[in-house]
Amino acid sequence: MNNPTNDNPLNILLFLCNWGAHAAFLTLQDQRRPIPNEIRMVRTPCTGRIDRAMMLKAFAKGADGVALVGCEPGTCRYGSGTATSQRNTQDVQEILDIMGLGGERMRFAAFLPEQSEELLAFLEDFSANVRKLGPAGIAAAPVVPVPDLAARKQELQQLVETYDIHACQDCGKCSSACPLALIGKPFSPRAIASAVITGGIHAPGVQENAWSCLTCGLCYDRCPSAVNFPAFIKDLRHLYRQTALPGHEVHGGFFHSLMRSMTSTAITPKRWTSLPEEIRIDPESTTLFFGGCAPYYDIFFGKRMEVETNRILLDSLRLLNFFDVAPRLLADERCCGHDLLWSGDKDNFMRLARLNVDKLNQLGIETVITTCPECYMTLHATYAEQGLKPNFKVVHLYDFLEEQIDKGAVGFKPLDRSITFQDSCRLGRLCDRTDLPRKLLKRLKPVQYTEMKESGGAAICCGNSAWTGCDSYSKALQVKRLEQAHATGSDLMVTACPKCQIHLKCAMEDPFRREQLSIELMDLTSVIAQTIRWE
Amino acid sequence: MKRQKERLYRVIVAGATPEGIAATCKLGELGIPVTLIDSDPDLDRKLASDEYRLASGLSFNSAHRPGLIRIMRNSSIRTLLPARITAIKHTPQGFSVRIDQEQTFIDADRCALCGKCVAVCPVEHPDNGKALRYYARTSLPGRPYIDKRKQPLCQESCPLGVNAQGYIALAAQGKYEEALALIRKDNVLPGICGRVCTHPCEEACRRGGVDDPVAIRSIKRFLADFEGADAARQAAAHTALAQAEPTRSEKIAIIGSGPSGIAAAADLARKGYGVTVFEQHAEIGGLLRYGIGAHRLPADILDREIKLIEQMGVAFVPNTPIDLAGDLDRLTGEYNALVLSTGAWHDRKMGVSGEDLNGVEGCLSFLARRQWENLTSLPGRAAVVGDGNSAFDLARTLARMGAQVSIVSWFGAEHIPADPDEVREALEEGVTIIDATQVVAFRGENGSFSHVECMRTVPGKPDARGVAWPVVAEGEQPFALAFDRAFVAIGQVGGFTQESFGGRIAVSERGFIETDDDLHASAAKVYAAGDTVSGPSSVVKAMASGRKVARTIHFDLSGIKEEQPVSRPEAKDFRCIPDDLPKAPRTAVPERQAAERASNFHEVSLGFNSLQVAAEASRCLQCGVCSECLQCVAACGALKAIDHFQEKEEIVEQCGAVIVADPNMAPNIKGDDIIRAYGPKAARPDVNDMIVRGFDAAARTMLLLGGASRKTKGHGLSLSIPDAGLSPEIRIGVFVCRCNDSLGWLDGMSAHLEQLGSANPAIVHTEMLTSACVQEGSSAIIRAVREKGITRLVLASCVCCPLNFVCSSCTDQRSRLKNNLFHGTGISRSMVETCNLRGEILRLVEANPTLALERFKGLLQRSIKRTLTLKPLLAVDRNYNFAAAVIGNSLATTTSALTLADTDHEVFRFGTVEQPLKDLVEHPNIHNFPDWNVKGIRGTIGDFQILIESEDHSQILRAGTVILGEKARRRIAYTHQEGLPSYTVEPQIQERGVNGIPFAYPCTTSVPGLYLAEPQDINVSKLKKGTAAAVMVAAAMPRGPRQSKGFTAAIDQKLCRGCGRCANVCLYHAVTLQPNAIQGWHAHIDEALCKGCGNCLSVCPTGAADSPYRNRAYLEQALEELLAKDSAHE
Repeated sequence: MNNPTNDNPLNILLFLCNWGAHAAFLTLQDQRRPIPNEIRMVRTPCTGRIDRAMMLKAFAKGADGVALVGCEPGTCRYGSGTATSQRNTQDVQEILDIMGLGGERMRFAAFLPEQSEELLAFLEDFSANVRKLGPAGIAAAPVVPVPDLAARKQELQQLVETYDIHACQDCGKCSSACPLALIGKPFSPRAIASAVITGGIHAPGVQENAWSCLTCGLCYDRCPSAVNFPAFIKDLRHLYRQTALPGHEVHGGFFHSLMRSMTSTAITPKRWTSLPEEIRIDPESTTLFFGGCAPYYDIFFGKRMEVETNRILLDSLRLLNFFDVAPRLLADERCCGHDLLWSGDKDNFMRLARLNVDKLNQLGIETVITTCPECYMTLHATYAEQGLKPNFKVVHLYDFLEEQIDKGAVGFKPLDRSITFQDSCRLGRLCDRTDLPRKLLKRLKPVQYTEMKESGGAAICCGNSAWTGCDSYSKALQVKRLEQAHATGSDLMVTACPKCQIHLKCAMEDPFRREQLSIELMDLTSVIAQTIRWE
Repeated sequence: MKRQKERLYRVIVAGATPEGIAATCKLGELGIPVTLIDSDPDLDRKLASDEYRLASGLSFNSAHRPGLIRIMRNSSIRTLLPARITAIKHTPQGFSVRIDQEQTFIDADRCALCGKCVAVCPVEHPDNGKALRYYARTSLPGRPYIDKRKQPLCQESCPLGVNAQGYIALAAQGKYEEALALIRKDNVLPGICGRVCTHPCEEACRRGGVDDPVAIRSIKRFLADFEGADAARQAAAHTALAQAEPTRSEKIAIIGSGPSGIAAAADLARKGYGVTVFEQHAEIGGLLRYGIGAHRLPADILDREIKLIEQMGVAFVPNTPIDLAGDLDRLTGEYNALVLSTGAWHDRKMGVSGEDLNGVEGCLSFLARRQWENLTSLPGRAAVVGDGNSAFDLARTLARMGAQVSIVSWFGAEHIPADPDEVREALEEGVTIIDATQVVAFRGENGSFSHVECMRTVPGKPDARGVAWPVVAEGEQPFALAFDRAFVAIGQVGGFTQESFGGRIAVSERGFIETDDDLHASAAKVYAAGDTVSGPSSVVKAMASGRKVARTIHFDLSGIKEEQPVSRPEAKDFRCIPDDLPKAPRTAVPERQAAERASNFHEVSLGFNSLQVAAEASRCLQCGVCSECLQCVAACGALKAIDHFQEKEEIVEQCGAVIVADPNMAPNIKGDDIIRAYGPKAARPDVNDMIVRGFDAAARTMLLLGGASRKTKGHGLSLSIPDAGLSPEIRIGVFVCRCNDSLGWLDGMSAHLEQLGSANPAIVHTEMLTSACVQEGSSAIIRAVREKGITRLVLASCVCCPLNFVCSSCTDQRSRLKNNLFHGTGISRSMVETCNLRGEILRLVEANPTLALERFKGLLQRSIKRTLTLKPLLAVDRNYNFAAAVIGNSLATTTSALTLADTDHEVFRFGTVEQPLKDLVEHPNIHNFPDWNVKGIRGTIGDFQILIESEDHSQILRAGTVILGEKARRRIAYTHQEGLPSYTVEPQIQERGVNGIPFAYPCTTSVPGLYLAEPQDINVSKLKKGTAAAVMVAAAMPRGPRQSKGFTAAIDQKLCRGCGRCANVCLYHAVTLQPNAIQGWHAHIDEALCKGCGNCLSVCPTGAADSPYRNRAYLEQALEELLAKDSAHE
């Protein structure tokens, strides 16, 4: 940042296809044409190779503009690249819009190999535009000094003490309950525990398993010594992060980049821009509805998997309105930080948490209602645990609904479906509220409601958490869960977390077993919104 | 029927049309040696033509660039460009082809295509631009070429052979010093010749046919005066020409310091001899000084140029008359050679009465007397008899001395042979001309002249040269003209007699020295040159004679015969003068006004200024296109890629088959065995048709030559070629290519490179290369790698990747460097980290040196860091089944089957339900399955499973390749893996605006190894389509060890969820799904099919798909480093 020789404060990153665009770019270079100095180029075999995570990462790492420059439609060497990168670009543009960076900082352009002058015109135009927009403003995360070996040992010791790992009796109950171990993964919570005690946390298997852990809490549930394994893993991951060991981030780390970008005060997200007209909100209200990341998910996953997690938010608002609550919304709502914390990035989590708490406190919010179990747990419990002082109460939408419905005069239309329910680990085991959704479920009038083989406190996780560690075992776990759902004879699986929807949908995507695994998914909020009525 | 030919295993392809390229590529893949010939010097440009544009909008040269680069690099393919085929003859072994290879004057192997030569080329041809033709760095072969025509007439007509076009071109560019240096190579007296030369060049100038000849002489004068006018420039020229000590021991004496003596002396001195010039008069210059009026050639100009000759090491000894009879022995004893260049000093007599009267004098004898006696004034009436330049020069000298001068000219006014300018200027200065008058006698009294007696003349009968020599008019009476003096100026004679040399040197009747053709006089060691041999001529001819005697002496003394080497193609005629060339009259040379000059000897002509020179020089038609100014040779420097003396080569090549891809490229020849790949002239030629025709030609060639199919039966395992691999030891070598400094270079870069090693102990070697892509460059790298045990290389040049992969951005130079570096050198591609220094950094040097240096450091820093993360390349072993399945019962499929069977491939033939196999072909290599119909096909190249069924049974047959007839294509269900949805294979040709179709040849599909015998929308015969499909099959299988492509994707089985997105996105079916240990699936990528596009990477949710080469982590790292806004990367 303090480079005196750099007279170009702006950075525009070009992902350039080897074929058409790169040939044109080389011509510009060879002819010493005035390529704007802010342009930095990365060559790729095909623009279709650049996933959305890479594009977002470019912004997170300091780009002020990013362009995918590929081949004219119909000339992609590999056939699929042009369409793929057009689609990816569009997704990232939409996400940049919501993040508040502005979709116009991301472009796709295509050229024939001989169109070097056209390419130059594009580069000049794009540069001029980005210059006009100014810096993107994602401040680089401050470098946290890596603790020395002694300090790390100290911290590990601290970890063992905090979670009383020595209390582990090596009884094996955790391993016999762990869904990952049961599916066949060489994974054992107590093996991680003993590795930590003996100082072997960098052994390959240990490290990998620390990232694979679902932090679903089943082992904690079963542990006779009450070792809080999920929280322990959370802190262990933080320890790994400090020594720059990469986590097994999935989707190319897209969501982690997104969340880390949110810690930058220089950006102002633009949420809630296209609410349906009928939804009533009150900008003066002291009751706030906290949405969460659903809109991002829908853009990211929507084209491929038909997930509609934003619908959960809209249905939540409808339900609040149903009970005559017009909540306030945060136009610049940021992420709660759950996944950062749970993937070991405590520093950025704290940054985000502080921003959120300060903002809500400053606005004088008294009640925060949320439907996302992760947001709920994080806002409700984690912020305070981490030493922050929220001046507001956090209420899960289900609590609100249960309370309202309990007042009477509300009924439900019959639901012509056989349903089963997928618990959310965060709400169920980690907040110990397995009963809460069930109270609501029992009020519904489905054809049939059957619990899966393992449910409530024993429910199996949807297969992933914090966007880390997804692999073939996660899939096997999900397949098992879907088979359990089918075994109930249900035709609708009700979920309580947007991620359960995403992960289970993803598992249905299987070239050989699609038919066998498919089942409709709907969030409990939506099911209620669809069937609730005044009586 | 003639005897069967025993064909040679070599093919000549005439014409680099798409047909020719397709055929050459296929034959190259089959391992058959090919010579590709085209008249175009650049394949890239030729194939960029819109005529060959693909339906997708891509030009042929971009779309097929990988193929073209492979043609360039395939050691069994020769490309002769530009060349013409002059004759094809049948021979018992095939054909004998006579090829006329045109000169390009540039060695493609030595050229780095840096463009420096082009930048300095002064030729600005109105329609073709520079003489060095260079369009882009994408040229194939990668070199510019020189458009050089036969010798321009100006140069040809110059006795000295001065390269007038060259110096005019340089003068037009303001490169005056270079221009003058070019003149001095052949003419050491530019200032003098720029004034008094009879300029035969201008007589020959083709511009004269349009308006006026170019004022070549005046341009030369300007150049000489430009240097002379500035002491510093002159000093620099002196230094440049100075020769401190003779380099040869022989000494040479020259007698006479006129133009021939000076020219001889200068040349001999330049060759290293010690030269002494003896002059009888007090001052040097001979006729230049005593025979030419100062108003034309001022003495200071003469002094200036003579001084320069002295600088060259010539010793002038004035005031030293030599007794030619008495001193001859002494001089031949003291000197190794003696040159007599004493000129022709004796005025020629008219031979009429009264010539010896007092008051009648010869021209030269008067001029000489004037100098010796210091005559300044000569009033009275003077007659000058004669009409040559000397006569006019004398007349104007007399006029300046106060005389009232009349020229008595034999010729009529219009035919006066003297220079028209001279005539005009004389008239302006008051000289009168009495034309068409012959002096028949000088009359006077008491021995003193008083008048001339004259006769009128009329033009006589023209002689052989067309000169109508005047004759005395018949019936006319003599008439008298009264004068105070008369001067005879009709030329000179030798004036020697046998006695002059004591009888030892032969003298002609006219008093000149007799020599042989090489200017040897009749005594040993004695030579003669100039007017003393030839009689009176001109300055330039005398100088030419001097140079000639210098060559003769050099040969006699050293044995080195220096002939003017032939550098221009005599057969290449000048460009036609365009009809629309704007007329532009010659730029007039400023002169002093007549009144101002009449009474003094100040120079009349004032010479051009720089604007006038530019204007006049731009009138040059640049007849020879290349002006041979040799600026390019200097610019090219150490690469020495330019050879102006490249000789024309005529090649006679023997081959077994000839493919005519372009009928204009081959002379008419009859014979069934000439393979014609071109189609009928179509209204809208289609490039896909052309490609199929090319494939067909390759197939027919394959049949004709036989034996083309090595190992095509059974199964084969393709192996990796031995690779040095990647040593775990880290010893880094950093090699930086300066690209011949064509885009500039900064000292800071050299300094930074130098200190890299001391900053990082892992860096064991740093080296800067003039050019990495020429042999010296790559050899230096290889040597350093071997000597210092380098295990990781940073190669900063223009090369983007070290892989066995060619994309449309690759150039001849890049691929050549890779070829030199990795072929049989023991250097593994996996050891090398490349970065495009030229494109990324050097382009900035001129515009923004600070940024360039900063980025240079960053680029090297990043590259060095990346060498630590290099990974070994994948091994590429794979099994192949060589049998081919041909499905369908059509003419095309039968042709495919027979073509393959005849080239020893094993063929299975099947029908389908709609088209059962009926036409059974009897052939030992064909297995017909008449009762079995194909129901479905699975798999990819090397391993297809053909599902066939008969009435009661079904079974699976395996084959390595498949050819589908059109009906079969529409009917048969295909899937690349059992259990996945099947579909019918669609023919796929990319089309503008239509996404989702990969690039492919017309008879291929996106299924590797599956070809179409009857591709739709291809307008060629079914027979041709059938053979085309056959050659695709024949070339599909690897014939030897394969190189790792290096860029293919791989799957981490543990991370893979088996979602199948990668399999869906891969249009080449490189992805299959295989069972994993937990009842699920994991993807598997077939390296042989993967093209490395990475689309699978971007759809993978977990990161299981990644490319080991430049993987995700690498890209992320690159992003971070590129985008870092701090200075951490310096």
